[in-house]
Amino acid sequence: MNNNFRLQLALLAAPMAVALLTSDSFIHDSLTQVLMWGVLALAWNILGGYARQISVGHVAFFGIGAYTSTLLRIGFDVSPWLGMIAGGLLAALAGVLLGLVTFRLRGPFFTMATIAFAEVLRILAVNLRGLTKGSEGLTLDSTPNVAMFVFGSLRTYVFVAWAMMVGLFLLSWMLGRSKTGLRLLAFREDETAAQSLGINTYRLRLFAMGLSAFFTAVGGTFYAQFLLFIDPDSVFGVDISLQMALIAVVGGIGSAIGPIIGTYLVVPFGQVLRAELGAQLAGLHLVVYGLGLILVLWKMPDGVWPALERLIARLSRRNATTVPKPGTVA
Amino acid sequence: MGLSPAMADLLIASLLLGGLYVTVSIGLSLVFGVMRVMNFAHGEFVMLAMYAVYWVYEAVGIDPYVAGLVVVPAIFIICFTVLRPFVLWLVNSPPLVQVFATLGLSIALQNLALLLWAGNFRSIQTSYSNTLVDLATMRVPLTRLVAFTVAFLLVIGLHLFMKYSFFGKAVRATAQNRRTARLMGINVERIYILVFALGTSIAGLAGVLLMPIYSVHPGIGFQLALIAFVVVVLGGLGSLPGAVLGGLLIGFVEVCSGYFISPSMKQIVYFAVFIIVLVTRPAGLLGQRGAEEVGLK
Repeated sequence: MNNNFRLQLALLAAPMAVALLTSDSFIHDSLTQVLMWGVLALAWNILGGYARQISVGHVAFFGIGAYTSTLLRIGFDVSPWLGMIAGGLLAALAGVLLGLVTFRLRGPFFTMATIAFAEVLRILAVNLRGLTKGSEGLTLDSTPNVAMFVFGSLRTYVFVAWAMMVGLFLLSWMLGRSKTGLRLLAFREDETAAQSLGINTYRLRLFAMGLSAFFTAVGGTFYAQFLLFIDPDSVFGVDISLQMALIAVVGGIGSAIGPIIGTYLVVPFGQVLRAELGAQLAGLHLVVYGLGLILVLWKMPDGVWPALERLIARLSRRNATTVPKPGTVA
Repeated sequence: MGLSPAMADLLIASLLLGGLYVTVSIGLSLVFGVMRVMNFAHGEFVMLAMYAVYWVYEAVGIDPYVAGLVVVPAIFIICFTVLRPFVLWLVNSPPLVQVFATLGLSIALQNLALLLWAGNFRSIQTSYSNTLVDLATMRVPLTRLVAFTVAFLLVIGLHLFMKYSFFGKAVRATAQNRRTARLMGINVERIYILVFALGTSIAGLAGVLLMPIYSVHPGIGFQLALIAFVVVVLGGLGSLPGAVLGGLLIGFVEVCSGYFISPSMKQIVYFAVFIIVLVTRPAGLLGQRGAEEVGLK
């Protein structure tokens, strides 16, 4: 077990330890949000990191997840646990359809098409009032009921979000090591070379898109069940797409732990900024946030995790060399 | 073949709106064509110019179009000086960094406006705000006619400039091949800064033209940027004639869908047109395949 592995384990276990040690509901609330963003950033990373398709429209899947489970709960009394799966499948379908159209596009063309897609869904959610009640929003029953995905204590939300995040981390980790993961690696290194080896890169990216959309929608259902209220601007707003992408970018895309590190840095930073600056001066916290993002990209274009990994490797090497073996001449 | 008066009205209305969209989008297309950088903060410069014109009018009472004569060069100078290191860093960064750095700039500028001027919608009333001009079968607002005329002159001017001036030739050479352009003695960094400043000043010009027509609020830049993305991808990114065609087309689609379907659905309709064009012609109407690598035409 090397240092790198130990650090990853500690990072995964840390939120659980904090949740168990404190009973402060404010901390539990913040922690739940952090973990939820962890799920979203990991989901985004499957497409953005492993398949290197930079989407800023993932909120579309988030909204599909939130609206599917909520509408099923309100209209047909279906448990959001099932609604979560239904929303995930629907989002995966939407993702594959979007991919079929937009994977012909490269670079910024693709990014802009995904933004447009999410905007279409937002406008539809506002205008299809018969289905979504438009901007009025939908409110869920808040009576605690585990079968209906409503919990009495905030700590339970932390546990559920943590389980989701760790589950998705393990899945990402296995994906990175699987044959599919290696194909994705080949694709993002050199598409032409990958194709010449017989890899169907189109289908590969569709698979990544479907998987990524599914888990983003799962995060959407969790969000709806956590806040128990959704409206088009909160679950289809482009700022959510942006945040999930930039968490992954700050942490380091293409690894399983990168988005989690990004979450731990970006989300509490945003929460503190909002608490300190948001009250007196609306907007200041986002000015700092935007400039902070530029600064991180400037200093660490690969994100924090690769930089951290290099540091660990250097420290480990130094420890190994500073302890002289007995019998050798220094 | 005679046009019915209603059709003529729709055509004029779409031309006027399309002209505005061309002004908002053409700078974006220019910057992308030469630098291969998609500036996601392009709309924020339109917004800032609108605020600048608004405040000059409110504080000193200077006419918005006159204020534009100061605001547009000011944006050029700011890009040329303050944003210089940012632009040079951007052009040498991988695409992922370009996307998120400009998105970061967009968030920062949008919220800076919110911080300084709050979220209210602000508009200006000038002596000619409600002036109408007779044009063929309909009466059109003077401000829209001015905007269209300036857009028209801008497109012609930009085309001639890029095609015949020495600077324009250097820009096109840089767009085609950065390394060869450098071997020919072109100061490539200087070209990038100038093109970024030029493209962004055109965004500022769009803001000046829009201020007497629309009201300004911190989020308007992003809304306009969304339209600009559709316009430039539709026409073919990096293609200036494409941006003109795309802008006019989106203006036409928006006016017609507002008239025949419902104004609240107009965005859905042009996004639908956008998707259809992408499916059938991924490089855009006048674009070339692989424009993200090839650059300006």
